[in-house]
Amino acid sequence: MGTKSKKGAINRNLLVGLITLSTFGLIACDDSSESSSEKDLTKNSGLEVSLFADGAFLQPPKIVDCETAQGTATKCYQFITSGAPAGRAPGPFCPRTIDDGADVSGSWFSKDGEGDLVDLTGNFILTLDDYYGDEKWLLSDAKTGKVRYTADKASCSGAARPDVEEQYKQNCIECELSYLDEDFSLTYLIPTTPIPSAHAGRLHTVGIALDGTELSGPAPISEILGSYTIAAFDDCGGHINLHQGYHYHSTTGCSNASVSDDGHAPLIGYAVDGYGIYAMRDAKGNEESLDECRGTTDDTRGYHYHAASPSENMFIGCLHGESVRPAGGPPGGGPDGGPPGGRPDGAPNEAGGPPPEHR
Amino acid sequence: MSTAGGVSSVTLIRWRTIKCCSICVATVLLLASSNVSAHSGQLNLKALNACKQKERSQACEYQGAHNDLYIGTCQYMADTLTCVRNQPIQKLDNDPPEYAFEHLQDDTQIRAIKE
Repeated sequence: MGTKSKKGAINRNLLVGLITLSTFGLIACDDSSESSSEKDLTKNSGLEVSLFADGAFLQPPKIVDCETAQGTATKCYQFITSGAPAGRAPGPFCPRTIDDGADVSGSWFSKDGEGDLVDLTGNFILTLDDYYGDEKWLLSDAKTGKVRYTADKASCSGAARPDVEEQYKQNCIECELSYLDEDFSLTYLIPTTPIPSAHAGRLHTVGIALDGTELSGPAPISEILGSYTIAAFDDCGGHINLHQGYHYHSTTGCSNASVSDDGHAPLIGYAVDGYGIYAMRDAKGNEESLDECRGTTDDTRGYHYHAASPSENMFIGCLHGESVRPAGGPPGGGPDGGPPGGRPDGAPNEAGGPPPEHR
Repeated sequence: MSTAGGVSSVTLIRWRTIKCCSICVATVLLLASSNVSAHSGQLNLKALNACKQKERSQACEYQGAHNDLYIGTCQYMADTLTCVRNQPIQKLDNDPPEYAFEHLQDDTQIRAIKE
């Protein structure tokens, strides 16, 4: 094997390791003053594999030995995913012209950080200067009416870096699944039975949606907007990057299970600690009072979370349970006790994982 | 050209320049890192500001754009402490003055608001 291919193999292994690490996101920082186990009831229903969509995984899930970041030896489901949502093709994301409507484009966070996502129409792109009160926004060509977007892998990769090169600023960012490596996969280890943690865990990667894609931590909005870019979502609240594949930053109902008989909010996925994450509102449109992690307990579901609204840029607040440190991960993870691989600018990773080329 | 200590003035100037540049770079980096820290990953700066000088799990609240009240606790999103709402969004009763002006017909109340 030549040096180049060895380097390639090492880099690939490193990348796989980092991706795996990011996937688990975990490493609880035991700095909470409140013990979450004290609030827990005895019922801790585990993850229900049958609720995931057909095609959510590359291989049938396996049960393997694992150890949580808190040192508890347990059993975990091992999920291997392709980075693509089961049952649908992602997109559309960026509009192509300033005349494009909501039917051919995706969505973006409301600037108020609350409520539904806003339609990423051509007119929205055209009026970004008004929307954000910054006249420097210029994502469209005034003469042709065309929207500047990342039309190939190189520009997708270059635009979504923390240190966006000048040539990639002023872009609507979108990536395609075809840009992912041929052998791209993500591995998740999630406890088969949730283990209440002595202290609520700090959140990086949130979990896995029922369509097999990642529920990610908050998008680095200030950096995205600071580079005059929009990291376009599709109408389901997700987008693609080269490290996480398709992943969600908000939930708009695309990965929901059917509403339960008791009118409870539908399940959208599972957190990395194994507890279920449900939509924000129940069948009647009501929202519950929750604990600090955005969780609550009932007789049917045991402890579970409820996601925040689409534009709040978060799903849940913290991890109620223990989550798994991937095999081979360095003891203690990164400098804050979290996973290694912090961004070169010192900002946290989007999902607590490897230095992201993409958002 | 040389100084009394035997060090050339050019060298001295270079030293000072390097020292000055180092201080400048350090200052810029410090400012940059604090700026990143203050804004990392958060859309809603109100949620972020609501947890300034607070610790994890402390109660927080902030007012949204539509007279909504967000109530929660401070939690870490990666490395950033932000206000995580854990109560249903509440509508504030106290409408903004201009809204109240449009709807109030009682002169006394209007005067009271104007004062």
